[in-house]
Parts: sequence; structure tokens; C-alpha cells
Amino acid sequence: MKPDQDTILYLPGDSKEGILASPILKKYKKRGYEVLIMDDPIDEFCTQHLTEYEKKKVKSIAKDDINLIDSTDEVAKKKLQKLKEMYKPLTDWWKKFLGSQVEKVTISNKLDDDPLFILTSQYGFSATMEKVNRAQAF
Amino acid sequence: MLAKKTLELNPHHSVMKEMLAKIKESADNELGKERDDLATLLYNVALLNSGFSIDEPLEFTTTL
Repeated sequence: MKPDQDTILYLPGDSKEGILASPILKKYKKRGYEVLIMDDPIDEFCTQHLTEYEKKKVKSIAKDDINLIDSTDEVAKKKLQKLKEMYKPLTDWWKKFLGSQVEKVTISNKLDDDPLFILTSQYGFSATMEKVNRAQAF
Repeated sequence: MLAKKTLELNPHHSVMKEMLAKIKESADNELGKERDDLATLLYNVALLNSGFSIDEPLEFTTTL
């Protein structure tokens, strides 16, 4: 792991290939972060309860409460803030357009060459868990 | 129970840049039918990319 990586990152998904091709993983890979690939449906079940390992937090990069990219770079942070203001009309429009389908719309610095990505909130279900849940609904 | 989704936009992507420009141009902050279709398409593709399944596959394939 990179010396400045203080969190254990993982990305859940259906298959190894699918996870490796995920748009959200690209930038982490480029910056040299190590991300665990979790391709078993039960993996996320475990990480819901295993929130810490050897004093390192365990977090999914598909959730919106984690941002390691440029987290120590003040200039980049200011730049992102500026971009957020600049893109306010667009984020407002998307929110209006999608209505209750999404919780919120933000500007991201986690994407590399993909236009948009959908993360899930820290406490709600993730995409994989949503599938698991649908499969066992009764 | 469904997941609470957060949509993240990439401000450096040309599609997003163009959409912002178009919204700024229009007086009433609307984009018109064609743009709406594009947005729906982008959203659905993003859903699939992010590991979700889409609600109406037929509508999706028709727009495509």
C-alpha cells in the first residue's frame, strides 16, 4: 500500500473483469492506490461489519463518503470548489431532471475519462447489496 | 429498499462541458427533448456501469 494510504479500499462487483473495468477504479489505479477486488456477493456483507482492520478504516470506493484523491492538496481542493460553483446550473438541472431517482448530484474529481458515475450513500445499500436484496425479497 | 444514489459528474468531460454551456444559453434552464433523451441515456449507462440494473430496459434500448 502507498505510505499515505490510511484506508483500506475495496470495490464490490459481480466479476473480477467487471470490477477492473469500472470507471471509478481508473483514477485510483492511476494514482497508485491499492483497491481490494470483491467479486463475491457475500464480501460486502462482511465489510458492513468489518469497518476497521489494524486501525485502518475499511471503505468502499463506490460510496460517497470517501475521497482520497487530492485530499491533502489545498490547490486542488480550491479548484474543485470553483468547479462546483461553475457547474451549479448543470447539477441543479440534473437533480430536477432525475427527481427522486437520485439523492444528490455533485461534481467529482474521482473520474478519469467517463462523464458520470453513480455512487451510493454511506448508510444506504450499495449497488451489489441492492441486487442481493432483490434476489431474496420475500 | 433501494440504494440512495449520488450522481457524480466529471467536469472535465466534453459532454458535461457542452451540457453546461447549453443550459447557460437557454433562458429557462431547460434543454429540450433531444437533450433530455441524451441525459436519460447517460444516466442509464452510468447505472449499468456502476453495477445497478436499470428499471426499464425496453425504454433504454429504444432510446439507444
